[in-house]
Amino acid sequence: MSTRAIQYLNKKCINFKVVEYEHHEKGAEFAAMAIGFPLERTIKTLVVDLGNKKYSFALMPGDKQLALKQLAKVCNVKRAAMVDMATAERLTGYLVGGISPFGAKQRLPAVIEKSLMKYDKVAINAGQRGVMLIMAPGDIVKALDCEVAGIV
Amino acid sequence: MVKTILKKDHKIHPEMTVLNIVSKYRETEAVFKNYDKKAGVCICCHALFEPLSKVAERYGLNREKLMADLESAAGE
Repeated sequence: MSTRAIQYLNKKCINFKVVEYEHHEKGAEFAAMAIGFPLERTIKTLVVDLGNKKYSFALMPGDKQLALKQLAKVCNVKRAAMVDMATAERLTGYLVGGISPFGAKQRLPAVIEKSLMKYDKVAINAGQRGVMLIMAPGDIVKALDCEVAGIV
Repeated sequence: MVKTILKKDHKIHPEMTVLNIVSKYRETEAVFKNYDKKAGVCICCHALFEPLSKVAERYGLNREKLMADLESAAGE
């Protein structure tokens, strides 16, 4: 199994484990259930519009809602808004339900919710529906050079 | 005599996903929040990629009422 996300991580010599499941539904909830991983440790990758054609990934625990105001504050912009599915697919080159922050078509900055950092391993999409990566949250930060902040 | 029927231009459709609704009409996020208790889950957390019709069915919500509330918020 190889995806752009996996290739990206391999290039950066980041450790991860690939877990596959039968994809029937989009979203972290189904993915977590399918791989038998806790939802709060299963990351959903959201794409956010920061205005002026700037976008960012927000990496969130599967059971939490993104606080857009908090994210706007972290990114030093006036407002942040979720992008629609078509825009998320266009920017990342991945299909919704298979969006990964790694190896996206457009290199976007990323912010990871700080509560995820307390876990030894988290699950994150591998860039394909039905494929997840199990890895250390610190390695996600390292791979993306992303900001760690409270965004729930 | 030709009758002209003015069809109301709806912003919210049952096949729209929660994500597409909140991304297009930011004010609707508050409406979903109000329905969280009835649904028993945070809709924007658990059903972001689901179409509205499926959300209503899955969580036992009144689809017409939900749509009307979203429509009203979207129109603000």
